[in-house]
Amino acid sequence: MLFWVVAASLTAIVTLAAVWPVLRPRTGASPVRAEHDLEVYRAQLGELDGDVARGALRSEDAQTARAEIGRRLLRAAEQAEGARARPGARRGGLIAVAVVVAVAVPALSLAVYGTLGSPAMPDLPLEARAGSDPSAGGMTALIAQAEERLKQAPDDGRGWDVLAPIYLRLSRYEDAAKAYRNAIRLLGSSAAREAGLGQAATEIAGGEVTQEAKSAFERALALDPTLLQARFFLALDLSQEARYAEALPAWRQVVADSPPNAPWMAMAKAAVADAAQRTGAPALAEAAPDPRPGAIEPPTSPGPDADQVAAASQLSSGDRQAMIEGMVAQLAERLKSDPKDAEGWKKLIRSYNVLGQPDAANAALRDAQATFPPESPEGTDIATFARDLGVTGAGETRTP
Amino acid sequence: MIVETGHYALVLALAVALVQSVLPLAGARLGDGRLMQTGTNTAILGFLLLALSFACLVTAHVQSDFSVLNVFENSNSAKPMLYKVTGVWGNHEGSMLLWVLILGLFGALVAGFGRDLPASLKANVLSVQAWITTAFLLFILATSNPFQRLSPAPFEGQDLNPVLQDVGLAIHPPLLYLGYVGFSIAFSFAVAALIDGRIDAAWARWVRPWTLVAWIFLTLGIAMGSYWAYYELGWGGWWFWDPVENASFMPWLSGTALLHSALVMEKRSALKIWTVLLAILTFSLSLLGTFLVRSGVLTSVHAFATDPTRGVFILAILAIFVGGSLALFAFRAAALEAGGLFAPISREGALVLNNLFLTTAAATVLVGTLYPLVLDVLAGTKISVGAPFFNMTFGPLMLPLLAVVPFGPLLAWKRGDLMAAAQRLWAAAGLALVVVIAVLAYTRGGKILAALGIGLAAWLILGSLTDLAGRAGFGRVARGVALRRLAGLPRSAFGTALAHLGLGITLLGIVSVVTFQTELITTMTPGQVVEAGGYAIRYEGTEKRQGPNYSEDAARFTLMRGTDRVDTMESARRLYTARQQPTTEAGIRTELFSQLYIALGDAGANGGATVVRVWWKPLVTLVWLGAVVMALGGIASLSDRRLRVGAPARSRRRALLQPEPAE
Repeated sequence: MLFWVVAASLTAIVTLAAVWPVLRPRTGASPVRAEHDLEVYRAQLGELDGDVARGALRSEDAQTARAEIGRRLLRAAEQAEGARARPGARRGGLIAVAVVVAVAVPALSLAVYGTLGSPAMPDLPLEARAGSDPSAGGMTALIAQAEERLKQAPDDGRGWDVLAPIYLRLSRYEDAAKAYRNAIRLLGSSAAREAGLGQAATEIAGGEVTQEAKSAFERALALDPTLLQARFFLALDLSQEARYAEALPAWRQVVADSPPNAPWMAMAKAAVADAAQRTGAPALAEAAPDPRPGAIEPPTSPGPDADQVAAASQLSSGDRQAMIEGMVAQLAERLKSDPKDAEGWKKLIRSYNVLGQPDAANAALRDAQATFPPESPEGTDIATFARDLGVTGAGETRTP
Repeated sequence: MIVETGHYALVLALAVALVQSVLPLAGARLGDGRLMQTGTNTAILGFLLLALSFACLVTAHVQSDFSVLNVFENSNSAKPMLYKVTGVWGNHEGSMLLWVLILGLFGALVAGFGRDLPASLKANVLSVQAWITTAFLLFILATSNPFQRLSPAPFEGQDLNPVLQDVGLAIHPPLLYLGYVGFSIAFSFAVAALIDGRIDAAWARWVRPWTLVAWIFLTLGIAMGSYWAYYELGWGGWWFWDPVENASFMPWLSGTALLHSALVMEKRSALKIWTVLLAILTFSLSLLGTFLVRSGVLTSVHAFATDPTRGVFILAILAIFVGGSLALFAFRAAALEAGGLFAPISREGALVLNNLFLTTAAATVLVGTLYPLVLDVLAGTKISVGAPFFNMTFGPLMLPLLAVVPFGPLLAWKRGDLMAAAQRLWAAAGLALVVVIAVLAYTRGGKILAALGIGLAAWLILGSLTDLAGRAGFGRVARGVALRRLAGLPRSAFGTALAHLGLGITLLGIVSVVTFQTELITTMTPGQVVEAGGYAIRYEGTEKRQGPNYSEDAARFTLMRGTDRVDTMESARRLYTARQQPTTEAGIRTELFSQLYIALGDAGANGGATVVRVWWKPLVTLVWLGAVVMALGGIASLSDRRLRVGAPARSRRRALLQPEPAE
């Protein structure tokens, strides 16, 4: 609405100012052109004397030049004398002009703007998007805020820890690796951080599990032997190094421990089949989608070859997203059966927040507080953590 | 709301430009003062609307409003604030808006300061200016709208081309556009004169200062662009005869010619028709430059737009304005009154010679720039015309011109005395010869061309000083008197001398760099030492660093003279994360006028080694300092109060008080 007020005022002011001279009464006759010429010739005569004084013009040449300018001057003077200001346009004509302009300017502006503009669309500067609900823009703003804070306080380990998985998800792998390294340096090693570092390093290397990534995954597994993410990538490493005999059981373990609908399942199964084919071992029954009696891969129809596995290892961003969502779902399941895990709840809240699911994050906070009342040390910790992320637990029904 | 207000203001500016295209012109035809007055109002209004629109776009960029397509495509919330602002014109749409804004600015300046112009000339000029504005506003709204929205607003912007993330972007395009677009006023004056079928005496008086303003900005803009390319692209060169550089150089050449012929016209009412033609040609070359850069027919840093519809649109604008004005010229030129006469050896004659050389040089550059394009279209053959072509054609054309430059200001108007001028120049010629011999002795006769080139530069510099000294009368009168006379000389005399001096300085820099620079390309490992410019340069190692929106490998070098440590230098390779685009940040150390230039090539495969390019560039900064001196000359000339002519109303009063001398 405000826009239309501004647009209307602009149009009114501009139209009025444009036709204003036409509406005024006739002013005194302006000097005719010859009078302007007179002025110039007079100035030139003056300069001629200066030129002679400085020696830029010889005096006999100056004489002829003076005569030349003088002739022009005289002629201009005659013209000025004889010229009479022309009558100009008639009053009626001018009013018609003013009316046409006053109608055409707003009409044209509105017609053109109407086809090109988006009058209803508000501005969306960074700040406005930051304040608004957690759409994509909100996350950008959060990241920007966090980065700003970390620039001030680069030793805030928790900040790095929060930011790292977000970077990973946004495919900013260099940043993710840096954030994970900082988090590990400041907060110490944890399975999630090591595995994240490994994944970032793998992505930087274009999907190849590098030595650095491999040691990170191994450290992660040492801390949490059940961590599927680390086991997945270590198995991938074995496949990439063509150590299929070792890769096969590793992949089988990943497949066995993953939820059946996990998004990485297809790839893991393909890897099992590939490793099995290369080692000559029979593929697991579960690798085949439709197990029939004695369903062993016939030798004429080989499983996916190394290229396919390599291609699959460079997960598309959609796949990665799915993989992360799968892991989050798994975590939520685990916490339902075993809620006494404050770190787990924090991880879940953060994950939902990163995935842009504020309702789920709020719900998770409420569930966590059902197990850990806000008065308890863990409860306070979780509440502070959530508040830092901007998760308020809104929609809460019970008062703390 | 800010964005949409900017959009609406842009549309409204189009409507106002249409009014300005018609009413003042009609007023001039009918001799109606009120209709002519609308030109003044609409020109100022149009400029204010464009300024409002531009301010809105700047605001959107500063606030990282990614709901605007243009901001999303060229900005990033992590970008430093300076580049958020300069990024407004670091892209096609925004730079076109700046282009039109400056067009409007010049129109408003004529409207505001043109009170002394004959009313009908002013009205015609403003209408013609509005035609150009209308054409480009239509172009912007139809094909390059900077206010196009994007919904939903994305996460993060795509960032600005990293090469453009530099202070240079804050200075180079605005200066260049002020130059390019400034010539539009000369064009509008020319077309206005042709429409009327007569040229007022005031015409030349007015065209010259506007041309000077545009020329000053274009000179600085080109010099700035050249220095920017020099330090940012990391090739160690400062001029590449790149088509886009040529596109800005051609209007400069013909604009320089225009400046000189307008001088003749102003002083002697001669060369009128030629000056009108040059005014048309200069702006046409500016338009051609815009077309080459924006149409996507060229590939270059400057080629933001590769959309063919844009190219066709600009081509149509080009055809209408260039074709229309030239047709009008052909139709009307015969009716224009011819001017005063002059002998071949005279100031006028010298300026005609200058015009012939400059326009031929501009034509040479035009051929070199367009020939590959035409050949590509006609025969499908891709060739590239580079430095060798221009060195063989442009160079030989410029040398005789440079050699005769010192004579010009010494010749008298109407009929000059070449021998007298030569006599006054013998000291300069003698000193230049001494310089040639000194350089030959220094290089043991090894560099004859360098000696001649430096001698020519010395000749230009000394020649322009001779002009000033001669006018002040040094050597003929007492020194005190001469100094007083020097201070009393008209500013335009200093303008001429400074501009020609600057030309000599630039030439000195060019010759020195071309003939004496040393270049070294090598692979270095930490601790290794190379020699350049009398220094031993030790590579210390490379360090990884993180900038706000880039990561960089910064290599450190220690400079030693003998065993003394003199300084450290740094040269870097950057990777801008948002676009995954690498750039180089050359390490440059300036010593008086010479520079040591270190650029990094690719990193070696196995740790630590890197390709390093080291240049020693003697007197290289003179190339640009000379251009600055030229621009200073332009400013001095512009400040000459004689360029300002009083309005008739005032003069009549003066005439009564102080009768004119008998004519």
